[in-house]
Amino acid sequence: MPVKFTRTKAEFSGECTVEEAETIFEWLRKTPKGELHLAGVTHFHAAILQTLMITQNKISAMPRDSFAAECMRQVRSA
Amino acid sequence: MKQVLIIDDAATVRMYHRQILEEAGFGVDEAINGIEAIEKILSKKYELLVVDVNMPKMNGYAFLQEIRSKAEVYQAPAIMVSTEAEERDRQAALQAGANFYLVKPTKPGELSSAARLLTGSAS
Amino acid sequence: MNPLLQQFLSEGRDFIEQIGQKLLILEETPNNEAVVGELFRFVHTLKGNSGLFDLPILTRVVHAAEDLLDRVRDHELTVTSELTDDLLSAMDFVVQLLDEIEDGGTIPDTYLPDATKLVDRLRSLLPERDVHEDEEGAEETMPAPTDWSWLSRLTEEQRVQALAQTPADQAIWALFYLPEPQCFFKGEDPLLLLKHVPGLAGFSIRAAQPWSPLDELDIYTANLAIDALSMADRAELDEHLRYVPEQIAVYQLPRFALAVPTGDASEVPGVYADFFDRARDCLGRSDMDGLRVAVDAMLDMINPTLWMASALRWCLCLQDMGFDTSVLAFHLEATADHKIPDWFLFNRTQSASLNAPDKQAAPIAVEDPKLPAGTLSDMELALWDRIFETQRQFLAIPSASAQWGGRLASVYNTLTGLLRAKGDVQALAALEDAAETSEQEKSFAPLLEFLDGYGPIAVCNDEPLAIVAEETVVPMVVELAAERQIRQDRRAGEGAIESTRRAAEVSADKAVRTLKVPQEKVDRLMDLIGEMVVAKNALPYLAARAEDVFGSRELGREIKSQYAIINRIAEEMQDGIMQVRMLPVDAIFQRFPRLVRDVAKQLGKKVRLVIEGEDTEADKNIIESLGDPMIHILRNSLDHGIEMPEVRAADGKAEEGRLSVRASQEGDRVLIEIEDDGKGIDPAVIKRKAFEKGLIDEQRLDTISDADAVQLVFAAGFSTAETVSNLSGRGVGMDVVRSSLEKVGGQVRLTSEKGKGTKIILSLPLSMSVSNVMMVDIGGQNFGVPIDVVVETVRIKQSDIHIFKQRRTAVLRGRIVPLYSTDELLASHNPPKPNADGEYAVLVARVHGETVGIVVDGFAQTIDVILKPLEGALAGLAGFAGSALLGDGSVLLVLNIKELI
Repeated sequence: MPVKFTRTKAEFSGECTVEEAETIFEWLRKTPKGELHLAGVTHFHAAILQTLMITQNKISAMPRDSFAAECMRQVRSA
Repeated sequence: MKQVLIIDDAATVRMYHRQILEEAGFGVDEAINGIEAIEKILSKKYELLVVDVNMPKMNGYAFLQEIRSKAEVYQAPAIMVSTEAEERDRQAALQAGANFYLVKPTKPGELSSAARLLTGSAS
Repeated sequence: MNPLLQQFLSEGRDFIEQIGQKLLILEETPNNEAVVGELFRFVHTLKGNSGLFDLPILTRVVHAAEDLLDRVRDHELTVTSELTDDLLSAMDFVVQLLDEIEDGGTIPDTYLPDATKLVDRLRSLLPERDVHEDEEGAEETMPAPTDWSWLSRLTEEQRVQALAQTPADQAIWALFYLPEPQCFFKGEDPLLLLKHVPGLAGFSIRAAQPWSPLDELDIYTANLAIDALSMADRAELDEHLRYVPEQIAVYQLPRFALAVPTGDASEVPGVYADFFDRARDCLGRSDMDGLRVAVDAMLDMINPTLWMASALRWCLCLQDMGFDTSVLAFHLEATADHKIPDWFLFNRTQSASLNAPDKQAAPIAVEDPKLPAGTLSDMELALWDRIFETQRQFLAIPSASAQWGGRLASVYNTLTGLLRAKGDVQALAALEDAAETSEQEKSFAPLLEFLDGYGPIAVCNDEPLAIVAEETVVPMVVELAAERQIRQDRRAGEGAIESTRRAAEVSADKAVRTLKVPQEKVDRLMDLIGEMVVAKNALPYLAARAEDVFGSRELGREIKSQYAIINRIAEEMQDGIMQVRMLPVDAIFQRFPRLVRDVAKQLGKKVRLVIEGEDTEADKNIIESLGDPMIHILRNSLDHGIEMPEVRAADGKAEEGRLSVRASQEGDRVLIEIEDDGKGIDPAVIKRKAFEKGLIDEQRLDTISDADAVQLVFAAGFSTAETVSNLSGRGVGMDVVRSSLEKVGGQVRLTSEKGKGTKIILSLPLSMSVSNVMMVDIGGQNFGVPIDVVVETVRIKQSDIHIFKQRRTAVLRGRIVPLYSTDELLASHNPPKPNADGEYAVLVARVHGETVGIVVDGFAQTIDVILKPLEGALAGLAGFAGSALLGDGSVLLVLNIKELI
């Protein structure tokens, strides 16, 4: 599973596929204070990026992957 | 005299186009649908086809596709004429095998000039 | 009166009469598609005719009626008696107008208020257009954006770098990508596509629409708008984006468009006014050094994070890149106004030479010397350019192989005309060479090169992103039958026919003995042998007559034995001719490896394609009809069947999916199996979706078996994400796959196991020419029914027929089968009669996957016939597959059961 959830944190790693979008979305809705740890992400599916766009959870670590990081910059700087 | 075939189900439009083209020095035949047009083309060489879109029995698209797949006939340039001015209608005409597209009602000068240019006639 | 106007009036009256009649028919049978089509055409043509004259009042009324009928045609509006009344009164009004024209040559303005009232009334009946229009719009090419402000979302560094990397005489490619809302369901990942855009030099991602509230949000609906810059060339970009052309606009940005200031917008009061005066002054005198000194000084004074600092840095950068004063001045003035420069506007007002000076120069040089000045007027020259450009677009459109040669010849003839009209003899020779090379290479490329070399290079901005599917042209190749006898059986004939691809590989020696024959000639042979088969069938009748009427058994026997010989020769001849038309399925299959590889790569999936039986042969028409449906099925498997590698691994499957395509011959049919080991189809999902779309009712929802449920993917209207488009050849639903195969006598079956995979079996006839039909007696007349829909023939006692939901039904082999009697299907007045034992003859047929019974008067033998489509006045008759000539000279009408029910 590329995403590990705890009560306070979601840690993303590897490739996050469209199948995970629903789970992530539910967690973000239920855990507005939860932090996102994205350092290990290599790619997220557009549906995942959408969920990260609409929720305002804090990002504790940006992706190391430059493309993924640029995506996050785009959607969170606006 | 260069021969043009007008393919249109509307008698009024056929007459209108005939007047323009005859005035421009062409010999004109008419067909009221694609099927009749194919019969005419198989028995006589036309240098230009002026094709309507919407016709009963065989419409303009089907007619053009049919003609373009017939190796034994002269592949005359074809102008498709239609009331639709949208780009996708123009694309559809090219896709079917028309070499040019004019929107109805055609302007007399435009149709006669296009006919001359497509058939290489001097004005 | 002007004869044209007279013609218009008399044709117009005819139309109105016809329109009146059709409207009344429609009121009775509102769903009669054929009548709706005719009605629309009459009104449409009437409107077109009126457009030739200056008759705005008449045109408006007819136009309003046409719009209404257009909706009726699209099933958005049903014909009610109210609608009929309104349309009829509109037509009455038009008759009045025609009378006025006849009397006075024009329509008095006094009709205007009534016309307006009528048009408003008709318009009020128009239903609101719903989302359909948007979906239709999405199929078109996406327009390039006219607002380039998204560039400010890229970092300054990204843009400076892109600017520095682009040569001065080139523009930069940009793309605007609006993924369609349902794209996730098609296996598309817009981010993956973006990530791998060749030469990606920066991008922006935004929400396309404001987000709905969290509770109502569907995260599987794509809502992204993506802009990106690419350093790659157009061809590379098009190649990468070819699967989503209707969602993407590719356009060119002039280099200066990158100069967009960004940063902290707060003001430093009072410092700028002097600076701008000084800068304007320098620019006015073209004192670039002075400008530079002024900008540098200003930059030293202010905080580099300020918006103004960014603007000044861009000013320096533009200077460094050698842009002229008009660009610098535009940038400076926008900066003075604290605005982002609208480079789109600037670019439009400037001549194109700013970003592509070399391309502009070429055509002028080419055209000048050859033009016999004054031959063509300005208006003609403009038209000339339009026609010329149209040929380029024409060649860019993918075409079916059958039309390839004709299309090439028509462009050649068109261009010949154009060049002659211009008197350009020199270019005519070059054109001829190019056309010849195109012909030889079976590619439009040489002709396109000629066009490029001749005319101005098209500005790519508005050019549609057409993907030219390089379809291999497969003309028929026939081995010269000099040494081979035509009389050989099918086995021995194998290998006699080769596809062009193979023909190209054989030695020159063999190539000499290969003939290219136009398909028409082979078709003619086919027609003749068809007649021969029919003619020989007259002999048994003759033999019977010799015995019965003339009492000569001996002559009868002799005729029969002669018949046996002629019969054998005719059958072998037919076989031989059919062999000539046979092509290996490889003609289609050879496209698949590339397709599968590309699609899999784009989706990030691992797939191994296994092809078997590619030398199986079938009739050319059958082979050609296979292409599009198979590509669709393969795409479906790749999109929805085979899972992502990590999903497969998690499910304990091999990461690499397996997609196999197997062709084989079984009797007189070709079987093609397309099987994947993907996730399969979940019958529960299909059932729910079919129920939601109203394809099955609640009762059926509960009773339908899983195996039957998966067949629902073939039902018309099941697939909605994909709209049907014959012209683009993309995005057809499975119902279209089925119907296009059925047109050539094919069938489709689908089996699927959730989690294990899906298998689709296509079964097609080897050849289309001979059909086996069963003759049935209906009201004393024989009709044919194609044997492939017949399941069995049974006799059912009257007492076993029950009325259920107003339909007669009977129980057959434990299943309830609805019964249709021929008098209701054919609208005759002779209900089927039971035989002496009170039993009805019932033909059990399979239609759309369902078993139905057709009550007839009796059964006769089955025969082979050559089926001809109905022609002339009968051509539009629904419910008949065609007619066939019988040996005794009578004509047999063959029913199309599917259309009848």
